[in-house]
Amino acid sequence: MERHITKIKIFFTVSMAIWMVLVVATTKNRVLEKQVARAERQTQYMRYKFEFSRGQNLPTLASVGALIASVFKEPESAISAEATSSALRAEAVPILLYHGIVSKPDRFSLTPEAFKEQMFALKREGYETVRLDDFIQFVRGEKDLPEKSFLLAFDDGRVDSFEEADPILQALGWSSVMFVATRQSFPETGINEYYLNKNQVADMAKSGRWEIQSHAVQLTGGAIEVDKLGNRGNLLSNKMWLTDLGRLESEEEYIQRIDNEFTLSKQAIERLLGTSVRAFAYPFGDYGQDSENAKGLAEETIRGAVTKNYEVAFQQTWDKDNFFSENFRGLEPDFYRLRRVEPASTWSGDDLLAFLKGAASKMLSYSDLLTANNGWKNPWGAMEFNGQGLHLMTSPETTGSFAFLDGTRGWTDYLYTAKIEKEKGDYVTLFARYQNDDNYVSCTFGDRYVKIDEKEDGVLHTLIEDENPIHTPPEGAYYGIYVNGSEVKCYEGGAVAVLSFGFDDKLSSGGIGVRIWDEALNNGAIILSSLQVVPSNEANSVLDALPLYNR
Amino acid sequence: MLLFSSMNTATTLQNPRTIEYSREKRPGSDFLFRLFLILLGFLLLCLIVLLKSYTATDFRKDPIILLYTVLVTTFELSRIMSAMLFPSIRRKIAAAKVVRDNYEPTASFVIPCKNEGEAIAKTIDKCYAADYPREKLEVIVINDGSTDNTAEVLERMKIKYPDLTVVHWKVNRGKRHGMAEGFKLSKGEIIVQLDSDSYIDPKTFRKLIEPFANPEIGAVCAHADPENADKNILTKMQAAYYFMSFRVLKAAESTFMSVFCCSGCSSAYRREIVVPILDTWLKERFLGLPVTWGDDRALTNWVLRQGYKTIYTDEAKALTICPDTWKIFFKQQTRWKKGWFVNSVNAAKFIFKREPFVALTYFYPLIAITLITPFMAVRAFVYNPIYRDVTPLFYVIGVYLIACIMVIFYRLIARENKYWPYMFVWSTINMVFLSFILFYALATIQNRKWGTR
Repeated sequence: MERHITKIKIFFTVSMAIWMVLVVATTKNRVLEKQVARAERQTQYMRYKFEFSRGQNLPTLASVGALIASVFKEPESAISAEATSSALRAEAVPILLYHGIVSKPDRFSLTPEAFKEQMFALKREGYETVRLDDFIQFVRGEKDLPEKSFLLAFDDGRVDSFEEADPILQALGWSSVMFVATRQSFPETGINEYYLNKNQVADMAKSGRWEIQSHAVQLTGGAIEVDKLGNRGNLLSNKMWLTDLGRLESEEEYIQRIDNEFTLSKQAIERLLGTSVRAFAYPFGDYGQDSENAKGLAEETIRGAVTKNYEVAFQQTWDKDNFFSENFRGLEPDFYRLRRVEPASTWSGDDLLAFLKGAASKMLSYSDLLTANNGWKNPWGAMEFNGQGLHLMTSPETTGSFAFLDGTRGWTDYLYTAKIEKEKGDYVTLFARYQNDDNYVSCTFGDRYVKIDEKEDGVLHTLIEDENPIHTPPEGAYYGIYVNGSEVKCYEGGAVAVLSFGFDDKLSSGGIGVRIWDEALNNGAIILSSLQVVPSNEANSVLDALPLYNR
Repeated sequence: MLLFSSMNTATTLQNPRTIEYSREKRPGSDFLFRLFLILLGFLLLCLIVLLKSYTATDFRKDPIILLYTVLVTTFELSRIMSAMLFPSIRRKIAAAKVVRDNYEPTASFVIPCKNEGEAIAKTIDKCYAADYPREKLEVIVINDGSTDNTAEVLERMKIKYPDLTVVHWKVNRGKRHGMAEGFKLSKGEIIVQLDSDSYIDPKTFRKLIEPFANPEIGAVCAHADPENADKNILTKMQAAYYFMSFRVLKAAESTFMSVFCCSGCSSAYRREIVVPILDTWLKERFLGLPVTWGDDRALTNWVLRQGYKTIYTDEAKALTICPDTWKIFFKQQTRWKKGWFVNSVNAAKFIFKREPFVALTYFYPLIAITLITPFMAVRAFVYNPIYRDVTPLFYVIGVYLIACIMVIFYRLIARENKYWPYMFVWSTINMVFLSFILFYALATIQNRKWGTR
């Protein structure tokens, strides 16, 4: 009897132990969880596939059959440029950047529904994702891409964005670039649920829908202490405060740390996936410009490290900065400052399309009554569209206001004219060949004088400054700037006010902008309307139609 | 008479499954049915692993909660596991040499009753009808201050059965005193204690006595089912619960020969063990007041404490009456929880010394889980949805998956028992309500009133 009971006890203990080990092992390794997550994504994929096709056409029996068949087929890979070679070629390609996709949106995240709506809207409008390699060749000017191409990108290597986005990508036949911070995703010990781990990253790469690139190691996390008070700054652009030693890191230490951030993250991904890592995304879009304690050194160090390791690097643009949103074919002077746009979490699909329409490269001739914003960005001062035109205003803390038209970076020789009604303020400046804040040509019209400025790599030259020979009526007059080769002319009405030859031929292309300025704070406002831009060889026909004002 | 009964014994021995629950299905379909259930069981086990694995993400930050859910699931499955091993130990007991030699000790029924004029006659009849030598049987009824016609009925029964012993008490002294009185008066080697509304199926009576052939066994608990099961949904639900609590939970305890509660409605004790501790048992107090519930648990505790084994047998069948109104049901549940708590505290003190294996693998985990579960239910249903936006869905799925496993086992061992769907009703009520009764019971633990009478 005793022996029998002992046998039963042993059997009982062993079987329950096996069960416990089984549960704990599967729970710990999350073997099944992975399967469940994959099954969930698969279900989501089928759902999206169905939803997308249902929104596109009425479901007929044939389309349902085709849909069912397509679900079992391997998803087609992202579109290749050749497939639509007949379509118009893109002059510029946007990069859409997302961080997280969660049910409760925050500063860095949008909801799965919002993301889905934005993606579906893009697909319906004819947009297609491109591969990183296509994109790199495109900005180098070595390859054409169809119009309505874009690069999709995610920063931070978050699990939520992968899990929510992947089924959508699969359903739409798209691909995306994921920028992972290797310290967060491949930690030496433990696992952080929030970030993709090695296995997930490897699976993503294998799926063909994801290209894994570097978002630095982020050994110290995104923010570091930058002084002894404990103030924090971005990890790449600041010398780190070494609490143990009670000092900032030395220049050598800083350079070494930054070099590691760029080199080791690239190596870690390449070792894991066996593919080359070519692109880098600056954490917080900070390539040194936001440095707290190492200005100059930071930009130089970061540039050294990024150019040594990568072919391209990405910053981010916001609606209040002076960068063009898209990346122009063959016109980008700096492959380490390519720009990405983060669609707002509140944007509907139509909002995103409207934004892209404004940001898209524009063809000449171009005219706009300026009753609505078709791509004007306003980095400084204030701007509104009041129905009569672009209402450019100072704000209480500025002496001026500036706006430029997105998507015009590729324009070369043209005449840009507009009707300007001066409400208050002294000077109005029209910009041409605008590339960024450091590179442009401009005509400034004051009450007493007119001048032509050229700014190249941040250095401003006044090419010519003269008394203003023409008296324009403040209640509304036409102004213009004409650029052709290295010739620039400033127009008031149909007449040249001042002209110059021979500005720097590095400024051979660029877009248009407008600025107002006055000595006093918040004392400037104009209404810009009847915008017209034509190629320089058609300038005369436009000029002939403009009025002539009193000399 | 003697000849007849011994012949009967012989047949019973050859065919130990001669019990009411006969299988009438064809063997082929029965085999398929069982195969289906077993496969379904494995599927459910996989689902449970999957669920644990899946919800583990949420628990990564609360490893204690994860540990709890894994432990609870393991515990529930360990009950089924032990219940599956139960037949093996039962066969071992039945195969003892003395049993084969026609072990037939004298037996005394002890029935305390109060105001049971309607039921008591049937109970006494069934006692005397037991398939056992009449001269070895004795029936003692304690009329504990009844105010109805119980006394009259008992006197009539005394004419019908001249050897019936009846003790009339003018004043009600409580069940425990009634039991003690009956135990003291009894002369049989084995005392069979019955509630006045329960009886043992005469054909299976011998099965209740047989295990005592093993000198280590101090108490045997019969399988009880409610006789009024079909009355309403409450009784049907209790029928399912009775089946589970006897055929699974008590059977599981019995596998290690430590049943913690030989139920008051139908259990047998070895007289020489029980009588010496009767006075101590009568004077038991908890928090300064006499204990008026959980007499059966307390008595079983005393048997275990002296180092004897207690077992359950599914071959001896008892029928009892279960509450048919919710009010009485809750009162009974409250009383049982109080009894469970008080006697578990007592048992906790000695069980590790007596049965370390049972203490560690069953008894202490049971206490811990019973006390923690209501908190977990509150966490899942109130705290998580409101403060953490976590759905209680997975908790509910977990509870029902375990219930499904139980039901599969239920169907495997008793296909003919038709009350199994009510296990889900029981699980639901238990999940949202019954587990909280423990707190009500603890809060009112100083109220020593009986409740159902």
